[in-house]
Amino acid sequence: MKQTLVLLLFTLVATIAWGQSPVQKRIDYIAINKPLAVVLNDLSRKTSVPIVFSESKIPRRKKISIQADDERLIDIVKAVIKGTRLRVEVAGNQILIFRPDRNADGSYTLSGYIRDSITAEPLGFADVYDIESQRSARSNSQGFYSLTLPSGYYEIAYSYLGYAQDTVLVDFNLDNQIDRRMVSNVRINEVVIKDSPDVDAYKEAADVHHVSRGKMAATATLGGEVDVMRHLQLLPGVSSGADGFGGLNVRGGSDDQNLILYDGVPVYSTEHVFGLLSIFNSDIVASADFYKGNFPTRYAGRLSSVVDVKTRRGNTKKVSGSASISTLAAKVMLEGPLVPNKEHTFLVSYRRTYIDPWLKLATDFQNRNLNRDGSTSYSFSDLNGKLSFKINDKNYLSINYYGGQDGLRNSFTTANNITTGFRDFSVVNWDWQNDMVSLNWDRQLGDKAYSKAVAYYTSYELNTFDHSKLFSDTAVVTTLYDASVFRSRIIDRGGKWDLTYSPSSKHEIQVGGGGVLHKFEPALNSTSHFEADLPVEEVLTAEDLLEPIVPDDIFTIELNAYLGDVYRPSSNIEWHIGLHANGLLTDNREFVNLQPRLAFRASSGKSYVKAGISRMAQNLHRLQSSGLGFPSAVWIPATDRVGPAMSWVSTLTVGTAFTSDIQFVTSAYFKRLEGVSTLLEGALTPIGQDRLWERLIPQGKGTAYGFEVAFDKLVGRTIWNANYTYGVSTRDFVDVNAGQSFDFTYDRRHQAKLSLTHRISGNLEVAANYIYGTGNPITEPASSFIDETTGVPVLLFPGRNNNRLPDYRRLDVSFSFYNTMKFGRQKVTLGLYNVFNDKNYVFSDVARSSNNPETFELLRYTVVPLFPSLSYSLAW
Amino acid sequence: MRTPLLCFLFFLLTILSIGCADPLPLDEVSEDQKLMLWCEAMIGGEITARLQRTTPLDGRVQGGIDSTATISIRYTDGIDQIINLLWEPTRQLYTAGEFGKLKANERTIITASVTDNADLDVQATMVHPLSRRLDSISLDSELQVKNDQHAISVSLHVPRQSSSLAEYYHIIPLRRASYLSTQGVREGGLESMTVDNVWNNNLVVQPLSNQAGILVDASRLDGQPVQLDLLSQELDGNEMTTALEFEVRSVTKDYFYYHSARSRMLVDHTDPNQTPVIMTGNVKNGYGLYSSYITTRSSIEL
Repeated sequence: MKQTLVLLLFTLVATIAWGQSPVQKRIDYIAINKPLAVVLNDLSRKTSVPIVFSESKIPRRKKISIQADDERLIDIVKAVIKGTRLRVEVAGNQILIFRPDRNADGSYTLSGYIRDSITAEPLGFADVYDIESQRSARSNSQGFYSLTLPSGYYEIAYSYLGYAQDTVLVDFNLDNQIDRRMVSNVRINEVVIKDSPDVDAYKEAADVHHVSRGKMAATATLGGEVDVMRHLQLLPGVSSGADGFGGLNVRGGSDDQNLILYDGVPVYSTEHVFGLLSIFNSDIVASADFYKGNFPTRYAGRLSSVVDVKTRRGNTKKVSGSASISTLAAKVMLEGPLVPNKEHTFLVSYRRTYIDPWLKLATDFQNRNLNRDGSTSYSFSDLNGKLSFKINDKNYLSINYYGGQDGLRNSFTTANNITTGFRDFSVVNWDWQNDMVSLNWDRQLGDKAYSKAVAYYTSYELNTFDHSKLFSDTAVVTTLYDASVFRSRIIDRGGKWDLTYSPSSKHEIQVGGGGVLHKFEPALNSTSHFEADLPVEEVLTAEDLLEPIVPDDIFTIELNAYLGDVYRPSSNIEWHIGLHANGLLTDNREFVNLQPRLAFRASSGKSYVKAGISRMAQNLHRLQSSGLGFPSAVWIPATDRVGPAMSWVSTLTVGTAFTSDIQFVTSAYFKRLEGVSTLLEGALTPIGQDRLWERLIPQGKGTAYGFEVAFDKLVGRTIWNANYTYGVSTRDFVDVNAGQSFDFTYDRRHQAKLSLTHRISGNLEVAANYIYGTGNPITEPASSFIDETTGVPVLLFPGRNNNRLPDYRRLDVSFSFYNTMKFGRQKVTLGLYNVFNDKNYVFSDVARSSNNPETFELLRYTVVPLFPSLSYSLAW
Repeated sequence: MRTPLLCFLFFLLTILSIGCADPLPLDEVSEDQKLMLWCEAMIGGEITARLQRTTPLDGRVQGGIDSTATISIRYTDGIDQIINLLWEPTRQLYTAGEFGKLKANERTIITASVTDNADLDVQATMVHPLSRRLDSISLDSELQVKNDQHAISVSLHVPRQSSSLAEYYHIIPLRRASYLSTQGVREGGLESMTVDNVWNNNLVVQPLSNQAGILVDASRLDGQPVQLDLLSQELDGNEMTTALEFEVRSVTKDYFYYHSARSRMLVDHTDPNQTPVIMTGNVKNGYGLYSSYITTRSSIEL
């Protein structure tokens, strides 16, 4: 009875109390398509009950339509916030509406994948950013992004060059995963007329240039071949060797100082046609990042630059492909899903020159006119393959293969010289090839971390053999002969792991490590004999020269670990702080190099400033012949006696937007190199099993400095870039050039470049490049003297790189026509390379005069004259 | 359609191949004729000189080989000594050896010219090496006799660099032999010489061609011993190597670089793959060397 009474009393009190609570008021309320905040304010006003909430926590665009008849206030409030992450609590006489924060700093994370709307291919390096604050993130190579922002509602933009910009309202009051499919506005390499300025420079402290397929395609090309490396050569601070030969030289560095990554795997040589084209077939390249300074902590291994090339994954929706034929090469590409409705894809591409039979015919014809027998043949080919598997939403696996080779054959024998009775014989055999296989595992770890693991095998081989002789048919032995062989065989087996973790909107932690087992087999030998005992009919082979030096394997082990943080205290400020540690084990020594990285960016409105300094190490050397004739090279590892090379690279960059579509950027750089190597003056140092050669590799210092100025028009029917670079690059070796400093081979004091693309109509574009550059330094003899002991003339060189090739000038123009048919999309490109047929010299050589063997002739060679081209592409 | 396309491609490739094969001779980079002067002498020894013309690459030699050449040396007391040089047709150069003895630390200026071309004259100022303590290089040796050959291992101990010591040395091994019981110094007869155990790279210790000894850069050697492995071939049964003598020259930096370059230049100079050797020296308006050296000798009795 007592218990029943207490219960009754409690029920009565509670009922009275409930009835007295304002939140229990029953009201009628109608709202049609009203913003949530307005509805809450209406309810508060109508009932005089304070409803407390923060505007920033309320979905700005959420519209409410409700009709309540005699409903309790609290129930109406619960109904209107339904579907959001808002919570409601009653505190006294007021209603509190709040959103529970998950993170200590009140931030939430938006993550997901960005893909192409048609092929579903991941779009690497797309920008994701809040339009208001400009806080941003960038998708990785698998299209994954992670953006952490304080709680609230944001208008998030997805931006990727060549794709229509996409915006979405996102509730950052909870962790979201949003996958976006972006719509491409280009097909088969049409030029990209951007719809928004390139904002990379404003957002990143790194001195980086992002290259998309659209950017590559918007460049006038050699022989109709779109090429990422040729595109990079148009940037300020970048030059090639003479007339485009010799790869990429960045801010006074040599091309072996570029870390070139092919889906994360280092490749040693990217050259086809001696650097005129690269191994990166444009059909399979998705994007490339090019760093000239302020290097992110994860990159290491070279002194001057990083080129990080990512390949495409393949169409996940249907089997498609493309085929093209240009003046230089023909190629075909096929891609598609491995299994229907699964994101397992394949991509295979093959490219080959077909000029070899033509070249052979033409040179044979020309040699006959010059009264000699022989011909020249050259070819290259590429095979790319990629299999990608989506294990689940958070794990992707891919297997990559690349194989490519170049081969040059040149030989001739002259007829009897009427004056001397001698005949010349010459043979040149050059072969080089790359092979690469990698297994990549991309793993999303929650919504804030992403890891990438790569295991790889890569090999590079270069064999060059040159042999010439002077003989008389009436003699028994050869009068004069010489021969040389350069061989580089490199096999790397390695693995690496990178993790990016974004604990908050202010920090992005980068950590990783890896190891590589290098196997080098360098070989170099040369021979030269006057009045020698080589029988007239005998011809030397590469094996004849390799046999005495016995090429041997050299093994080194490289280990890396790094830790860095990208700290963004605000959207306008960014710091990169990191340390990369590298250890190298040679036969009997250990080298440990700590490489600190520091970079800073501050931006305000339309302007920004960047500064940074990086320490870089390189555990291998490329020894390039610097004498007469076409240069050859041999790669050697850092060894007990030939230590690693190191560099300090510092940059300062200021950029501003003059107008909404024209940017101005100027940069100054200073680079200090230590431990760089070269070949010793004099007879070529034989490199083989006898490790005495290690003592004869001079190591010295280098300095490079300069400034760059660039104007970019980024938006509109006409886009252009004009840039100028002043650069100085010198080298100092105690035992070279008598200890005197000399201009480095890639010192080009002045360079000016202009590239322009104009869309004439919807299916017609014109592109043009103009390049001017100071000629490359070159070592040439000034005269000769008679050796008193042999009576033979000896060439006299007054200094290393004592001359310069004439200034370099080249204008390229191309016209592209597009057409979409039922069976696919077509593109025809008509190009003119070197329009004015400028004689741009590549190398020089000295030959004894045929009229007077006691005298010499200095010869300079040009290779690419006016070169018209026609290419046709079809994609389906 | 097919035929015009093939013709077009053939046209393109013909242009390309012609571009590849067409050398463009340029003679504007060829230097005018100059003189090479080689005049080096031991302090206290006779001064000798050699003079040679360079040949422009295009062979445009001015004057003739019959013309005479003159060398004048201005001594510190202001007196000029002028000597006509003799043409040696077999060696294709002018020589002279009548200048007298070189005094220590005397700053002389040498001028050489040829009579048929007023523009062809060169000038140089004598450079002297730092004096060297006699005991600054010490020798250890080990002798083995194998197959009638003396295998001699020698350690050269060059002290760590100091400001009072010469930085550069030229060390010439000589062989003293007895022939039918007659003692004498016989240069040559050293079949090979190998430099071992130098850790530094580069040309810290450099063997010269034609068994002309080694050049040592003591500033970079930093106290490390230099191991020389010499092989002496007994010429016949009547001759025996009794001692090794080392002529140790303290030389100048110009001397070091000049001889280093000249030695490397002449090895395989017919090889087009040779990395160009840069001709150095201290002769203005020309090429060559005008330098003195200080000589001491150390020997090892075998």
